[in-house]
Parts: sequence; structure tokens; C-alpha cells
Amino acid sequence: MWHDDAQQVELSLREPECFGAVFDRYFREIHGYVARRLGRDAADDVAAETFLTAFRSRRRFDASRGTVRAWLYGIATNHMSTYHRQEMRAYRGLARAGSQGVEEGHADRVAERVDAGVVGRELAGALAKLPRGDREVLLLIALGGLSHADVAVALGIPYGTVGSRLNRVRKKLRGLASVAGEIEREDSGRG
Amino acid sequence: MDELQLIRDLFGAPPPPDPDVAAAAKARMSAGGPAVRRRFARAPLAARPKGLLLRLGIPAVAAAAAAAVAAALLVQGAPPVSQEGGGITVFQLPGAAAIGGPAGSARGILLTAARMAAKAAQAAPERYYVTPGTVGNVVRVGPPGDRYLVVEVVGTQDWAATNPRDGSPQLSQARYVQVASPADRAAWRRDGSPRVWKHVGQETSLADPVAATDGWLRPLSAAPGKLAAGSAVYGAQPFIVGNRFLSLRELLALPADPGKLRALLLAGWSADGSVGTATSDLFQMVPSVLEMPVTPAVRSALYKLLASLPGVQSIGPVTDVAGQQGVAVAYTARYSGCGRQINPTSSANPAPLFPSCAVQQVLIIGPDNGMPLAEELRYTRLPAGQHWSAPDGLFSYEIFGTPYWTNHDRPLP
Repeated sequence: MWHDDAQQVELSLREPECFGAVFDRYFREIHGYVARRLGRDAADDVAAETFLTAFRSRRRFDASRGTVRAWLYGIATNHMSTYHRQEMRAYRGLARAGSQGVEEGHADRVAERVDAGVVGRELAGALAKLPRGDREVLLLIALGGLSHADVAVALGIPYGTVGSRLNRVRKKLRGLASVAGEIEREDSGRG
Repeated sequence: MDELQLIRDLFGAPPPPDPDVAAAAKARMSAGGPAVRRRFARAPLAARPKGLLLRLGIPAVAAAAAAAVAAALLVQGAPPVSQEGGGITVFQLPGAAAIGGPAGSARGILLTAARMAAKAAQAAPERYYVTPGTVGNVVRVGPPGDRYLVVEVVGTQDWAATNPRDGSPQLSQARYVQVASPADRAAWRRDGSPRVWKHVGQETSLADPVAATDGWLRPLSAAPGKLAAGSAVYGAQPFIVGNRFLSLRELLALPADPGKLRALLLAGWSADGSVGTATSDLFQMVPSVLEMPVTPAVRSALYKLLASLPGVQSIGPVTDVAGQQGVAVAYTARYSGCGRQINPTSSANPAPLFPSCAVQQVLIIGPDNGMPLAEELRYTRLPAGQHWSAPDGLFSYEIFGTPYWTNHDRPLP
């Protein structure tokens, strides 16, 4: 008998193995989302941590607040925060020069694809400089394909904030071009 | 949503997980043991809709004349004259206006605005739609133990192109910084009267439309900045309405029906009792749409939508931060996790500035044409022992300039 996600989580309270179905439905998706942002190695860790956390805290899942999928993305987002600096370095590397001097691995892979195109560089540079809250909204929508309602649940923010952050992403990015050099200098100064 | 596609292109398709990795993760999860308490980070209130604007001295001038001075616009209007050797003035909030007259009900104010908006002329589209404004955000700076508040003031211009090949940049330019109150000026002096602050202790949602946070702070400077542009918007849909990115054609085709507009703005919205309400979210979203080149009938319907919302209060005649006189309505909602402190040396999730708060969103409407003049966000209730020294608890304002169409080239920073 097929159960929807929320029912599956509820069942798992009595029968923990039922949570396996949630894993099977979403592990690949969550892993993919993290891998696009942080590379596969980090995704292996973050995705595993995400489902461990979800399983352990499944009693706290509240179906009235949102979907299981949004909840999982929220947990993954929290776990990804420990990779924050790595992610920022990758963006800044891309923004500087495409592939030269960038972290190997993930960033190189991305760099090849965007071929150091102006738009790609601008975008990577802009992503690096976005406030974290705005970047999370943007990437959950663009890469995760989450609805605004799911993003609100995943990040624990009001629904209207999702739209306003998207709005603000546009507004905030504009001030960043002129400070790119400053940030790069600061970055190289920090080694 | 072209820029979302660009993001997807930048990151490419995800590499699939190794089957062994998935199996190991599942085994680890299954052995996960009893539930543990885990604190979920709650993001801050981001009552900030799209920045806050200040009229920069352009009345409804001809579009051509406006465009000719577009690049200079962001720095037009001299910063307040310093009464101090340090060059920093104290922020003043004008508050209630002396224009008199009864306050009237919020519904009455909004329905009057709806009538005025319906009668306004609609300009013919040209190459760009330009929305100027000024944003002021109160940010907390200074040494631990002796923090103080300053107001960062930034000029802004959104350029929305009708031709997707033109691009739709948002321009901004830091203008000046003020201290938020006399007490803050005293703390600023104790801090050595700095004119640059490296550690801006305030997050994103509440403050700072241009600074990069997350430990990569742009130093906040009291000196005017350079004109800067972001390239976040590509393609043919530069207008964000609720969940959707709209082209000009789609924007002009919006229904002039308050109920339909409400449904469109709240598509996908779900109630979350702890943080805000549908009304507070609509209050955030509607002003930015009022500024867009919607039809007069739609602008009128947006005001009728606001008039239909429960809990909206009348404030009556006021003078905004820029000295413009208008009439104001407000909506107050409670939030948990308000504002966030940024620790530039840590990548950990920042803690909220306040565990809870009530925020009053004030919308000031022009008395003569029904256009939004300004918006103010104020803390009206903070946890016991907490204090926000800016006048009337203000933490953000936006003064809306007069939008216009132009066929001129956009300024290039």
C-alpha cells in the first residue's frame, strides 16, 4: 500500500523502517541539490547527515506546516552551512577568472561548463556576495525547484519573505559590482 | 524566469550519487537511534519588501529630462549638512504632519487612493521603465558591549527593459550614513568617531540593500559610494509579482480585480502561525507592484485589496523621512526571530537579534495622486529588556521616487 510522504513519516514513528521509503524517494534529489552547490564529495556527507537528522527528528515533523520535501531541504540547508566558506571560495574563484586558480574538483567542473563566460562569472561573483538568506532562497527555487511555499517552510521564513527576498536579490546584487575588487583583495589577503 | 535558468546552467546537471554512498547513508540513518533535539534555525523577519525609497527631488518631470540626468540622479540631493566635526548627522524622523485634517479610517484612506489611482493617466511604454528611490536601513555597529545604531542611506534605480536584449539592471549608490539618535552619537564618539565600519552587525533581511554580508562584509562607509550595477535580471520578465516573473505584456494584462490580484499574490501561500499573516505579506508585496507600470485600473484594485484587509490601521497625515506629506496606513504583526547578527569570523548560522518582535509596516500614500510615497518598518514591541534606539523603533524606510519611461540608454557604472 502506497502512503504519501507525511503518512510515511507518521508510520515511521511506530515502525522506523518505514522511513526508508522517504529516503528512497528523496535521497537522490537532495544529494543532487547539494552536489550542484558543493560538489559530490560534500554532497555524500551532507545528504547522509540530512537523512540521519531527519530520521532522528521525525517526531518533530509537522505535516500542517509543510511538505516532507521542504522539510528535508531545510535540514540539508542547515547542514550545508558548515561548507559555507568552501562554497564562497568556489564562487569567488569562478568570478575571478573562470578556472584559473580555483579549487579543484567541483569548481573546475562548473568553470568548464560556463567557459568563463561573462555572464557566468558575473553570476558566480554575484552569488558569492549575496547575503546567505537571499542566496538560499534563490538556489532553492532555481536548483531545488521548490515553490515559494516550500522555500518558506525549508528556511523557516514567512511566505511573503520568499518573494521579497527574490525581489531583494535583484536589488542587492546591483551594489556588488563595484566592490568585487575590494572583496577579492580581502580574500587574497586572508589567503 | 530567465535568470533562474542561468543559475541552473551555471551549476549544470547534478552528478548522481554513488550507489555505495546511498546504501551507506541509508544504513547509517537506520542505525540512527533515538530522536535528539535539534534546533532549527529560524530565519529573520524580512519585512523589507524590495528596499525602501526616497524621492530624490525629481518631481514628475518629463521622461527625457529625467533620463538625461539618470546617472547623476543617485547622488542628487546633498547629504544632510553636518553639525559635527565628524561629518555625521543625527537621523530625524518627522512623524506626524502639520497638514491637519481628520485621520479618517484606513479603509477610507485606501479607497480614496484607489479612486485617485483609477483616474491617473497611463504613460505609453518606452524602452525602459525606471523606478528611482532611496533606501534607509538602520544597522547595528560598534564594539561589543557598546553597540550603536547608524542609518545607511542608499540611492536606487531599477531599470526594467521592454526589450530583453537591453537587460534590466538595478543601480545603487551609497549616499551617506547618519547616527540613529543622540544616544547613538554619544556611543559613536566613544568608538572614536569612525567613518568606516568593518563589522556591520545586522543581517540582510532587515538591513543593507547593497552590502555583502556573510563574513564578506563590504565595509560600511559614511562617504558616498560609486554608482554600481547588478546584472541579476536577464530576459523578458523583469517584473516580480508574488511568485511570478512577468513581462510588461503580462503585467499590463493583470486583472483589475482585488480578489484575483490577492489570489495571484498569495498563490502557494500557506499560513504559519508563528510568523506573520497573509495581510502582512500582502502589505509587503503590494507597494512594489503599485510602483510598476500596471494599468490605473490594476493600481486602483491593489488599493481596494489593501482596503479589504483586516487589521489595517489609519495613521492619518504624516511627513515621511524625505519631508513629503502624505497619509499613512499601517499593519502590525508579530514575528519570531527578528533580525540577525552577523559574526564575520564565523560561518555558523547567525543568531537572531531578537527572539521575537512586533513590526509595524507603514505605507505612506501621496495625497494628490494616490501613488505610494514611502514605506517605514518599525519595531513596536521587543522582548523585555531589549531596546532599539532609532526614533519610533524605525529599522528601515524606503522613499519611492516617481517612476518614468524613457527611450534613453541606461547609465553604465
